[in-house]
Amino acid sequence: MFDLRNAMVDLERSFADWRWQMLAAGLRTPELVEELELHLREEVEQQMRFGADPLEAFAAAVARMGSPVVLQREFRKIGLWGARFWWVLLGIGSFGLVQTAMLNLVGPMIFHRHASVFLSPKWWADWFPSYLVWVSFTVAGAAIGWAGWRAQRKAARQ
Amino acid sequence: MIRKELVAASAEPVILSLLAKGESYGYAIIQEVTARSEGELHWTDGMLYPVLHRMEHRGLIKSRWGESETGRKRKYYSLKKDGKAAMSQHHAQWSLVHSVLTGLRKERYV
Repeated sequence: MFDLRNAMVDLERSFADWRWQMLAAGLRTPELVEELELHLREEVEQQMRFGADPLEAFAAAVARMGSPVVLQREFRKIGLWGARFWWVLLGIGSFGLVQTAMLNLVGPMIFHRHASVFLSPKWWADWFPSYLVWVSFTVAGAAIGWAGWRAQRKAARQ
Repeated sequence: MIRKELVAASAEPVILSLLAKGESYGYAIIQEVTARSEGELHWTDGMLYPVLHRMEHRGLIKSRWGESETGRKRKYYSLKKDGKAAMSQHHAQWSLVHSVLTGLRKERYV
């Protein structure tokens, strides 16, 4: 006699194996794998409603989904990480700029003395070189981040 | 069966037009496209998701997690403003291609 309970246990095991295959192929975004798995589950249920055996339905659904390696390649093309990278860089750059501004503008108001980085009596001798490096790094960080993000958005819109 | 290049090229306008009717999710999108094209427009299930994610990344559509009637999680997609504009553009372009083809075919029989 066909044992549905055992078949369902096997089906769950197959789903777990499939998730491992996705991970192994490099699809490491949990939300994405979950979305694909929910699709498979819907397809399997649909086929079972028409009387298919759970494992056969699973094999057919996985075949329709296509190879994990091909899927991963397609998702990689989207470049979600690219956008995130530029945002991070933009964040670091802006953070640097805000910090510099705080140090030079807000700092003196709070501590009633000039920010040593900017307006100390011998600032040009003591701090100027490192200050210059600091400012150019943050400005460059912000500029590169912004340009990169713009370029990425433009490429994505085409 | 429609050639795979044409299937790929028509994916975006078809998805946009489908979502213009209301939000939907991956499985239902594939089912509807298959039904509407009587199986001629064949999408592999795996192909749809990278397309959806790319469109979301480009700001044409947005997604939200919801629940199905049976309480299962589901990711629903819906059209954004930029998506509507892109859809109109697609429609204009495809109509143009269609009218060129129809015009040429008519001329053959004149």
